[in-house]
Amino acid sequence: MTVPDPADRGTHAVMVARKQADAPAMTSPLGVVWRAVATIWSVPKARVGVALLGFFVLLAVFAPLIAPYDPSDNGFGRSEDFSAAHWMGTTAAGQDVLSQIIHGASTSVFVGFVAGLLSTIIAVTIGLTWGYLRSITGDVINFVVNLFLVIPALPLMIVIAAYLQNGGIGMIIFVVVITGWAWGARVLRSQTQSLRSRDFVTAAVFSGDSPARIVFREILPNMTSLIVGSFFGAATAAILAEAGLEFLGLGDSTTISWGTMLFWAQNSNALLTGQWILLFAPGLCISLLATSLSLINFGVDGLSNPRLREGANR
Amino acid sequence: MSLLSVRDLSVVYEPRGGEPVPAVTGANFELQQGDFVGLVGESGSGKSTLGFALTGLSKPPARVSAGSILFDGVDIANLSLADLRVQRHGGFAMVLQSGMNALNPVRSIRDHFYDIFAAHGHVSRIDREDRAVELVGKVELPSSVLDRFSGELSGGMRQRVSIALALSLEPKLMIFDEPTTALDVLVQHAVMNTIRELQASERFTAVLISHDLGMVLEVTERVMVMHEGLIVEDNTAAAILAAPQHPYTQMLLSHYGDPRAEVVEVPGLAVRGTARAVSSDVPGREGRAAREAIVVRGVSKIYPPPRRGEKPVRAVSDVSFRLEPGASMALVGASGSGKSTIAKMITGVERPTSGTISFGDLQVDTIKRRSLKRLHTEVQMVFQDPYSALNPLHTVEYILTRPILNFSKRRGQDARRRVLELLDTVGLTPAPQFAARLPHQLSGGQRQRVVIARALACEPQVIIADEPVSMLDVSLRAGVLALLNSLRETWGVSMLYITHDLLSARLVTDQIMVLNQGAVVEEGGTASVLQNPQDDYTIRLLEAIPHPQVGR
Amino acid sequence: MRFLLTKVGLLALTLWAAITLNFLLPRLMPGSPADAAIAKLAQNGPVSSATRASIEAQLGVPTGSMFDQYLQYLGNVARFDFGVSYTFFPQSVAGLVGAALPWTLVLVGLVTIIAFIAGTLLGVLAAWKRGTWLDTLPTVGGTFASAFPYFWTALLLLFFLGYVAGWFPTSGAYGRGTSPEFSAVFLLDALYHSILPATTILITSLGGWILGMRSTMINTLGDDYVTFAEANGLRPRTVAIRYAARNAILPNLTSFGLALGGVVGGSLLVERVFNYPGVGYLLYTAVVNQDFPLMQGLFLIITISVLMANFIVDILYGILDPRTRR
Repeated sequence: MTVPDPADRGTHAVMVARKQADAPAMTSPLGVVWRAVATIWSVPKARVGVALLGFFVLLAVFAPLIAPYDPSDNGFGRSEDFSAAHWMGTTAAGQDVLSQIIHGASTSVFVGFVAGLLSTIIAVTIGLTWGYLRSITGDVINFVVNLFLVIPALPLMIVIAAYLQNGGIGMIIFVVVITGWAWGARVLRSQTQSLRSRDFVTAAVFSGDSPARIVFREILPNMTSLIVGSFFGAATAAILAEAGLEFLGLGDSTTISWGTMLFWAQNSNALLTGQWILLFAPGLCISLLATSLSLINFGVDGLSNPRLREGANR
Repeated sequence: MSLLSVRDLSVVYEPRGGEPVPAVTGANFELQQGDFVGLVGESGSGKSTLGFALTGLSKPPARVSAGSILFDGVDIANLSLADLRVQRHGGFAMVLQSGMNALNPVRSIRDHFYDIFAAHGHVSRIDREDRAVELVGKVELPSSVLDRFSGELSGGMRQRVSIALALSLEPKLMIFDEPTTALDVLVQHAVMNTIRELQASERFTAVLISHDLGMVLEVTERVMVMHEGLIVEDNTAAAILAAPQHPYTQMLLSHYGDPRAEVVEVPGLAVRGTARAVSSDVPGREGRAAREAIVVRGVSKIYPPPRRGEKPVRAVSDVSFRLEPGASMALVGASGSGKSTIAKMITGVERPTSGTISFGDLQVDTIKRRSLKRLHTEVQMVFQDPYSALNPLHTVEYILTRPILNFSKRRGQDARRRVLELLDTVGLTPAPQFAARLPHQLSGGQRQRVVIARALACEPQVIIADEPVSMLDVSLRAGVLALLNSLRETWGVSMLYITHDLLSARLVTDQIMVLNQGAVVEEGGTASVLQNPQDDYTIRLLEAIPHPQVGR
Repeated sequence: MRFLLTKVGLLALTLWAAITLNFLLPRLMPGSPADAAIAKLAQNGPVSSATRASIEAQLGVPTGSMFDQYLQYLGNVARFDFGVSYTFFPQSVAGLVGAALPWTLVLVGLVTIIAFIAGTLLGVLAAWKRGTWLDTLPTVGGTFASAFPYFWTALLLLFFLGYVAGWFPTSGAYGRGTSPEFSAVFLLDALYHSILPATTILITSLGGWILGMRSTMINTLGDDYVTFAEANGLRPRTVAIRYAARNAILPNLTSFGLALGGVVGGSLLVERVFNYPGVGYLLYTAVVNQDFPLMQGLFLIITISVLMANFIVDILYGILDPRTRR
């Protein structure tokens, strides 16, 4: 080996690194999270995403306080147009549309968060162990993960959901997680493999650390951005999948959610009656929630890929 | 009129949302037709930034902030991109540091030439093939490389192709940015020879950017030394060699020496004569001096073929040696000579295909996971790259505490005392301050000291140092080498020093083994082997070292 | 050649795994899908023993060895015997799937390829003109549009362009008056009917390709061979296309293969909205009617199609990257 002169052109990178050095220590897990949040916030697109997501989370948490009516109360006039009493009108069954939209946020945010979290936990567990341990089982896992990646997820979800008939939110989370963990596992594995060949991992072996400790204290903290990224990715997919399944009538159609609203809108011929708000509002909410997560991921990308950071290059 | 005239040139880095950082400040110089000039500096000195500015390749965040670059009377600092592009034919060309990656992996070498010919239209369609063949011929490559893709070529061949491509522009000025640094020692030497011969025959003006003052002094006529963005010295090579003016140049120059000399002296390191006192009678620390030898007998390592249908790779073949307690031995060879594989086998990371390795009562070649921990309390490793050997997210204290907790009974305040003691030992004082730092808050040399401290934490008998200074700037190397030396001399640790650099081997070891393609070709006392090399390979390695004095 | 053999081997293995998954699915589910299916079928009249055997081979019987069932299932799959649909009794599943498949293949296949090519080109342009409106517009638009649920885009287009404006037909793949035949009238009519579903898939999938290509292209623009090409004064167009984009397309092709499943899934919902007679609409019908044999047959054929598409993408990758040829 010879002498690469590592950082002549990287002067500015070095200077930036030195500046960050003055920031509070970031060894504690909290510090790592803090640094991640700060980096994400520094990207304007991601800031918009955080604000949007914050809005929906507030809506979800405080839905009962904000919503003007009980979303399942069908005692109003049917298919009413906008009015002071019903800002978005009423459904064909006589429910208040605005209240349904507000309560629908709870379902989507809940499904996105729980399914995203579960998928990420599975992805991290499988990705890390599979990336760290060299064995023949690795090839088998590789094959299984690739299989789950290429098998079209939605048809698989539809088939499973059809067998489990009207299982409600729990069933939807289950099928979303079953089909949604593979992507994260693959990304995390390749990162684990590249990190495990780094000298600091070998050095930890020489320091007598156990494999578990090496995986969780040396490798895992260096993948924060990927883990956060795969969480948001999985959550987006979960929100879209949940809406899709409910739109097909595969969930519990009495649940108040944006997907079921669209299901009822199509089934009650909102298209023909011209009540466009029934189609427009729930879909827009789903899109905005999913967009907010993608926007945050722009900031998360910046954590790991400095070249993608904002700014013109030429 | 001079070919290139640089006046008050400044380049700044303007990272978005960050403070602008000056990279080059007020550079002034002239180059005449046919000059061969060296531009020397350590990492971060701004030498490459200057090279990029000279060829109109500065890109954000780098920006030429002041001054002019007159090339043939035209100021290229203020030229539009389109005009600049036209200027590149018959103007200035650049060979990049990472020549390995300078070729498009999905285009054949021939396409690379044709793209350039098409862009400037200076070679007619019918002459293209002949011209391409001629150009690769000039860099001593066969015409068959034209059909290849970069992935099929070795590093040296790729760098030669880059040079031929730059040459195809028929440039008046060629800038070589660290053209050989990423290459193997022997290849480095050969490529540099080609550059010299080309410069002599084609008579283009050449600027050689390098961190290696020795090499630059050997090949160029005039040298500019850069330090922290300033050109601190600009003189003929002979004058710099005879009487360096700037303290920085003096410091750089003082770190060169001839490993073959009777006495080798480098600042900060003890004078090394031929008849050096053998250090076996070292008192040792509290009786913990190395007691056991590493015995390697007939060890071979064969890796499975990299691709199906190819031959297995014989990385090490039939190597035997004994590292006596308290001794220091150099394992020397070019990359691919098997020296790192031997280190991996001694530390139990890899297992030999045949042969035995023992340390005390431990059979290292068949060691179990549980005994591996015991081996690591006695045999520790210092890694090559201090930037990758420390986890960026852990403090120095955490890093040093791990082996203490795992290998000793010290806990709590006792462990902390040991951490501070270790930092003291490796010269990182005040120790409590360094203990709280994160790796990116340390310089390369300081990082390497932390790596050494970690290796010492469990009071090992043996340290395997794998190219411990090759990633460091010249000015930092002596300090780290001196530290390794003192550890051995005052603590009685045995050391296996792996390197391609014969000078550092001479400075820190008593015995030497030269490896070529996995086999030992020569061994003996370091001084006597280097002064009296018998094997052809050793002689070639020695010749590849730049010797400013010899070159004049 | 070795590359091709490896890929074919992998394809065979993956196909086997997918077929086996299809075998296991109904057997892993609570209750007995086979009994439910046969009970439903019995409403249409007596169930012949051959039909019963083929349904049991597909959906499982509580008694009998798994291994025997598996062998029989494999035999049935090899003969394209997926049993009888009871929604469309007495038509065979294979016949129904065969009739629906061409609609989906042409619509989804063609649109996906167009979307990938267009998205890739826009991504190249966005990365090359970074920071200008040519970058911002497709990036922001793409991010937003790719977050649209497929079925919502479909509903909006259907409502505004179909019902309100009345420019396009609102249902089906061809008009009432025409029937599938190889004539200009029919083809034009089919094309007319496909505009809305095609636009939906295009809008929703385009953004992903733009963003993916933009981000890999920005990476390759920072690579040394691009800097070197610029240092050699190559024409900007050559640098952008033959150096940067040509390399950036490779990782993007891989993600194209992996994203195909998602596009196909989304298209199923689109078919449902437009009542387009492809496999997606058929799958919806099967699910709503608890027509398990039809559902299993459709799932298998969808999976196999996606696997085959992935195989083609893999081969294409091999052709485009000289490094895999060695």
